[in-house]
Amino acid sequence: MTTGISYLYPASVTEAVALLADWDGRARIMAGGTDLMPALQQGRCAPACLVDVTRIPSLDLVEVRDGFVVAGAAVSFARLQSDPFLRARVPALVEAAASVAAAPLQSVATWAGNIAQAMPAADGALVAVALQAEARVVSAAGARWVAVDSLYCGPKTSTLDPTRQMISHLSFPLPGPGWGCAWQRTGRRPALILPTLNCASTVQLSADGSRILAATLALGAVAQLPFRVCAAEAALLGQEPAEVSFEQAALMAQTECRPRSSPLRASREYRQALIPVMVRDCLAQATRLARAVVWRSVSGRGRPVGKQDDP
Amino acid sequence: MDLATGEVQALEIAAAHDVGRAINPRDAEGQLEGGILMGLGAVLMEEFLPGLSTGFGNYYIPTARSTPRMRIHLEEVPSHFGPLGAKGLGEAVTVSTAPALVNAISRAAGVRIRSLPATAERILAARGAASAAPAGPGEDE
Repeated sequence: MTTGISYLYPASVTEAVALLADWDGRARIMAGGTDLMPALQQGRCAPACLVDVTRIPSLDLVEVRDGFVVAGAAVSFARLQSDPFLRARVPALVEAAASVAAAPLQSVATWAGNIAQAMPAADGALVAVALQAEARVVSAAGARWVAVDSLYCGPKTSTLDPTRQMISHLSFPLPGPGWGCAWQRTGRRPALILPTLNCASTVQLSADGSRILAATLALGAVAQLPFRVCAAEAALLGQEPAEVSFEQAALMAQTECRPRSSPLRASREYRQALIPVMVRDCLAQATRLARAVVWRSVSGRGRPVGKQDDP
Repeated sequence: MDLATGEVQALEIAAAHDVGRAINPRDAEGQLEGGILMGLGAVLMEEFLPGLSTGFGNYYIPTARSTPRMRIHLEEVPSHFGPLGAKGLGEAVTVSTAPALVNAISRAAGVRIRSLPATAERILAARGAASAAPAGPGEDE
């Protein structure tokens, strides 16, 4: 039952994790609550205390700091979608945020919560892995930054202890010149559906745009975790950003991924057929963005700005 | 239709129905819109799988994002049988929407779709089977 639960609003991250320590395993962090509340209702978890982090000052901000884009734990998917900088420069994150469930849930569900839940095909987690994002994991013992993909130890299983630790921030390297990202997703309907397949990629082109200096490629619903196709990433290095390179990477992804059949979503065969299509489109789209954006420095902050940011 | 993935999005549906006398035209239009969406759901996604379909979390019905633009025409021919010339309305809209959509999908796919719902997976499979099979006699639509 959900009666008799203490509901607390800490004023800082330090206070939040101190409360978790005080409650000694019987408290849980609460942000959007879109996964936690159903779990409570169905009796899958029964905390004695909920520690709501959404009123901690500045935790709802997306900021550029020291060469990184940093998002607080209370940043919702709606907040990600409305950020002008992300819309201009990190469309993969904006589109992934718009893919999660449906608008009412996006307005409260948080990016950090999506990652803490460790669902294997979570849109927010997949794009975080492709962006090589790190999470700031805080406990009463202190804070440390860890790679988001290291937070997964199995399907629906995070290395985080939700009764003692919280993600306070997520960060990923600030996009520079010649960098682009893209997002692709298919599902049985356009909204409120788990993906049949989802895919995020980034590319970094050389200054003259003739070579791929770095690439990331992550697929969801093909493994028990968000799956980075390292072989395809490695094969793209030094290649010309052209159809033939994308095709080669797409076929590698098809070989590397091991999707399963799900009677409610899609067969293994259909997913296998989708992989090269989506990977090719994703890489081509990321490359187009890498080439399209005009770069200039704004008011000494050295922050790259997309075309759409022009006043 | 995305021919590479088989995904279908209905962009616009025009529907004209003989509704008898429309006592409340806006209500009648609402019935048409609801019937169109029901027909669209049946064609594109709704599928009862015994033991697996246990609620609206795993029995997929159209949401706002699946909803096409609708152009509605009420053809008012007062009926001799209904009160004030009215007719029943609702089911007929679902019935005509489904074959219209299936025909549109079959045209776009270049192959007749014979099992519903016409999921992206079924469309892609039908296209694959058609391109693999030798050309047979043409099928009427």
